[in-house]
Amino acid sequence: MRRIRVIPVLLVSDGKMVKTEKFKAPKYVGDPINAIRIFNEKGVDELAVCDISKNRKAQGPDMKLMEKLASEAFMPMAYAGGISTRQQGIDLIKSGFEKLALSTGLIQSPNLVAELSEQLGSQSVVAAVDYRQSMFGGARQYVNSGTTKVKGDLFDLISKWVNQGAGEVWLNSMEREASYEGYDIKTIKRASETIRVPIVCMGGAGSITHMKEAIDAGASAVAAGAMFIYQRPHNAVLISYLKEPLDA
Amino acid sequence: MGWSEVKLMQNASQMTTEEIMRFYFVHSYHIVPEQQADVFMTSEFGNGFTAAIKRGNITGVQFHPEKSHAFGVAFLKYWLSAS
Repeated sequence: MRRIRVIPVLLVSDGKMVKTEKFKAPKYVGDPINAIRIFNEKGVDELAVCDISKNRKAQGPDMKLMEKLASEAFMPMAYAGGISTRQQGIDLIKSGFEKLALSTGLIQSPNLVAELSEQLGSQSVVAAVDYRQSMFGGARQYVNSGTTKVKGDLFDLISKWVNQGAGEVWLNSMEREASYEGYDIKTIKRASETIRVPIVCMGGAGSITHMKEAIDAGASAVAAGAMFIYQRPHNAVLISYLKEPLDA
Repeated sequence: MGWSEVKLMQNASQMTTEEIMRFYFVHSYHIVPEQQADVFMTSEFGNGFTAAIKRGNITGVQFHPEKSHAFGVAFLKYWLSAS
């Protein structure tokens, strides 16, 4: 039996913890340091911190906050949000993060994945691929917090990021975010047939069954935001985690 | 990259956890000790490998105790008490 990594996604914006739906309408849900303490207690496998602040790209990662978050965490952490230089990546790793996820950086800094994976090892470099289905069929990758469409076929792009040195791919279905409808099984399947590095799926988790479906389709790990932050049916803020490990 | 359960190959009774011990590994590098007696912990992941070594007061681990929750804390406590 293999223990599947189950990864809560913590969104921060200007130092606050927020939650979006389909990449829109960020709602304040609490203090990120407090959230990390709760996730420590729950013994989560791994945590993804995504800083979606509007000016993040211009200002670079909020190192003061990230140092605080990393020093609180007793679990491995990944960071996403405005990484555009090698030095920023190195600073984040030094502050205690294990993985750096790039999205806009994939496009705007074409050598960054290669540089970071050469210096830090590909296990620390993640291609964070936000995508949605286009009206004309086929999925398209988006960057800049889901506002800019990237030219080209989604799966060709994913292969490209892996060939450049990404050791993991986050497959984030924008239209499923916080929908509780289940992961995008079709895309996970196709991506897992295309690339050999681990795939972490995001967007749509509502139950353990959804997670198992994604693993069966070829995902190596599963991530979820709303499912671990909200309590349904009224989306009251209540941080939770799986009670039992997810095995496959 | 991920969590793996480990087996203790040397006596370390002070290191106790409620569940089976598991630790976080960030890569697939591992050492192959020349002397089997130095093996402290093993993982059965893949073909199995040495997760920690120990001889006298020298201990080396392949995983990240600081990122391994209560298991990491238990290891670090053991390590401090044993030195």
